[in-house]
Amino acid sequence: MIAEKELIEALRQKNPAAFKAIVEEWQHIVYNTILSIVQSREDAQELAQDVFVVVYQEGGNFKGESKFSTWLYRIAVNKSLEHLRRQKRKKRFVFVQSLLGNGNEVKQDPPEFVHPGTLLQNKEAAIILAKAVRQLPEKQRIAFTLHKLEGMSQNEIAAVLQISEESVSSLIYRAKNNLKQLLQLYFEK
Amino acid sequence: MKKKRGSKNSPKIEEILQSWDAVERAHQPDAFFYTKVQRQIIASEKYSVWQGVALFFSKPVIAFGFVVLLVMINISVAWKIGSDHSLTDAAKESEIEVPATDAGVSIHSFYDTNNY
Repeated sequence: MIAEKELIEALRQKNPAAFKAIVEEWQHIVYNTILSIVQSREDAQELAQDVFVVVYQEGGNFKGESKFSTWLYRIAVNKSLEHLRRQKRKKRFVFVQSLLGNGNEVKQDPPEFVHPGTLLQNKEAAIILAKAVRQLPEKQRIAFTLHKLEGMSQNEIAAVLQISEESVSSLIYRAKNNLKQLLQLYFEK
Repeated sequence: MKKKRGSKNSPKIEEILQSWDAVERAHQPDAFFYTKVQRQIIASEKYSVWQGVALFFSKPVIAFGFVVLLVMINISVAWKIGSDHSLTDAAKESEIEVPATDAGVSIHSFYDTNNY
């Protein structure tokens, strides 16, 4: 594991060997975080690459005021959010096109997402939860996912999202309540 | 969300909410992840023409291939010049000896005999 000071220096100098070590050390964490948020392997792969391009390009600006992992998570979360917003815009555009009769029919829901790390006995429940999480507002979705899937503490999430711990606590609380309501509706139908 | 059949037997909501608890970071990006990142970095950086050329030839395979291509072009040009030269020579030779017609009379003698 590379020490933080060495890491900052290596990033500033754009040292290729150090950069390769950083990618190899962090790639699976970045990839899995993005995968949990965007729920698509192909998109997660591409976005994780984008994250490391940003790390390489902006590494010189990293002053070490926060932990490197926090900075990396922040970039990963921002990239994921950008992607989700792009997807929403695309969906809206396709919907308007279908109303005008210009485009194809509105695309169906994305395929069922099963996180590769899910235990077999939890598979069915995890798919239902993934569907419900997709319907949460984006901040609640991020906070809940980081808390549940990444096992991050509220303090760490607060640092990544640059909000207070109370706000994180509130986001997770509201996310759980919303999920309960969504799942209730799901089983009542 | 779509209606799920047999919801009576479905796991409880709390169980569903806990289904993500035991998830591991089990999945890895593909084996060429670092190479792909490198490619993206190269694509995103702005190079000058000479930097681009230097980067292009920095790969030994590309440099060797380019040398082979140059040699091939050189050989083919030399071949073409050589073959053009021999054709010119042949043309010159044909001008010296004007061939006769099939009847064995040259065009000049035909004009001479008919008083044109």
